[in-house]
Amino acid sequence: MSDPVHWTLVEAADAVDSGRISSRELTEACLRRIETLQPILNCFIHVDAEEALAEADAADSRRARGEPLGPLHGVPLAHKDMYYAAGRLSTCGSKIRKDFRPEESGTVMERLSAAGAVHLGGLNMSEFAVGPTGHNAHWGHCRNPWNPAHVTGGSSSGSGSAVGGRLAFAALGSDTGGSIRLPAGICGLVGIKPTQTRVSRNGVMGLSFSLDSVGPLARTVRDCARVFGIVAGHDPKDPTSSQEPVDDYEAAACRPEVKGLRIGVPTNYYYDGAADEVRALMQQSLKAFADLGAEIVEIEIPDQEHIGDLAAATMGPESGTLHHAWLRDRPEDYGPQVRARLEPGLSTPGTWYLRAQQIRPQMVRRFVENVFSRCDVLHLPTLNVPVPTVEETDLGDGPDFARMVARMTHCTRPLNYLTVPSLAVPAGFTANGLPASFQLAGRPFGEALLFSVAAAYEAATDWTSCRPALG
Amino acid sequence: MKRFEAEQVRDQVQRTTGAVLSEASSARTARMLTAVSATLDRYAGDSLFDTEPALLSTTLSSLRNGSKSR
Repeated sequence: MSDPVHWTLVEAADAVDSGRISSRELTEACLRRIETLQPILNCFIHVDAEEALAEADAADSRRARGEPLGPLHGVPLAHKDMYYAAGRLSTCGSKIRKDFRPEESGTVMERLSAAGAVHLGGLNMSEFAVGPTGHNAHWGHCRNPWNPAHVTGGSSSGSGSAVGGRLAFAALGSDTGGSIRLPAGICGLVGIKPTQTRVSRNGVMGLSFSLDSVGPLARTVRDCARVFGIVAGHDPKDPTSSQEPVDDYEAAACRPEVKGLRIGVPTNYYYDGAADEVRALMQQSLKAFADLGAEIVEIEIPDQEHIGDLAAATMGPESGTLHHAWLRDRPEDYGPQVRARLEPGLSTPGTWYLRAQQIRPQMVRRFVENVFSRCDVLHLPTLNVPVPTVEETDLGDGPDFARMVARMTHCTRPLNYLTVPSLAVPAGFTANGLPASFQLAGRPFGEALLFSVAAAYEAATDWTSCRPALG
Repeated sequence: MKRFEAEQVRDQVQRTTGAVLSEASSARTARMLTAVSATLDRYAGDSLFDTEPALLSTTLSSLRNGSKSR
């Protein structure tokens, strides 16, 4: 039997279901790998080994009793340390909440538990989910499994590192400006930022409730679709969550579909400042789609260069309000860059905030009607430069940090304000040996088509079966 | 275009929130406010009285279905 940590999530779930391996054996394999690699990757803030083994034993007992098993039965996952589970530590990557233990579990955690998942612990993240690189002034910087000298992307840094390093089979992240797609893309994974209201945010630390999206990072398209299908859907505890019907995403991922579809490629904004080698990899991925029978169409996309300002007018007051008291009373307890990024939110006028909200439906409509009348799926780079090192992006609140943040989030940030779903998909490697990635974006609630298109590409290229040389 | 000054921003934040911004943070905030102001001016004509944030949800639902090619 091959080392089970290298199985996909679907393979692991099938193995537990059929009795080829017990949940305890699978969980112990993950815990051994965590013990070996945590000193290198620093992807966990806390490992809850005892609780995880108890959950694994309970899963094995349920199977032995012949009870119905969920789609994640006995499979070890771990999540960004901002998903509340009753009584368990949830630091939010911060010093301020280093001892926080919520009284109630979040809806997504309950849904994953009901599906049978085992929870290994809380994953490293950018402090309060602010930061696109994976640096953390309090818990230490998270490291990329493909090369620990390089960043993981953020803010779901530990999610990218732990799943990419084969320490957990999938992880939840959250995405306010790219925080799922960047670590997924940078760590060689599949990650989805869903339509903004598709997944409940009840029991999830908020950063900017108009822009926050919850979604999984996983090793394959099907793995990602399975976890997403479990957490998606309306939740009465989050009245903002959509009541739109939920598609069968895993079925879509098992039904590769590209022939006859139009794949849009932007002629403006997304390739501004792009590195030649990333352009080349994006071209290669488009050629693969064309070879599969897709029509590639060039599209000029309206408004993109201004969306960042509208997102700032939205996120600033929301995050500034959440953090106001701490920014006033204990500013020294924030990392310098996080504090510097939150402070502008204290000064944005309320009328501006509401203007940005008021314009939003029109901007979304203009974007969707303009783009998706001409293509079915939009193809964009996730990060249009090679993955940088931890050292070259360790800028604190120095004069160059804002430019670095803008560079890192250039291709991801607009889609949060525009609400549409976007799936990050591995697309090969740049010369430094680090992963490259493209995003597939679609209409609101169009996630199923994204999984379908990505599955066709995955089958034709197989980048998702590559794994880092960590042993 | 309206231009915001760092010192004014620092004073206003301290008066209204009690938080104290550094010189660098005030300058960054002033630059951000200047940029956002220009963008909001650009889209001023797009606003309608019946456009409220709550419409986002119905907008998303209405945009869900489009005809796939093929």
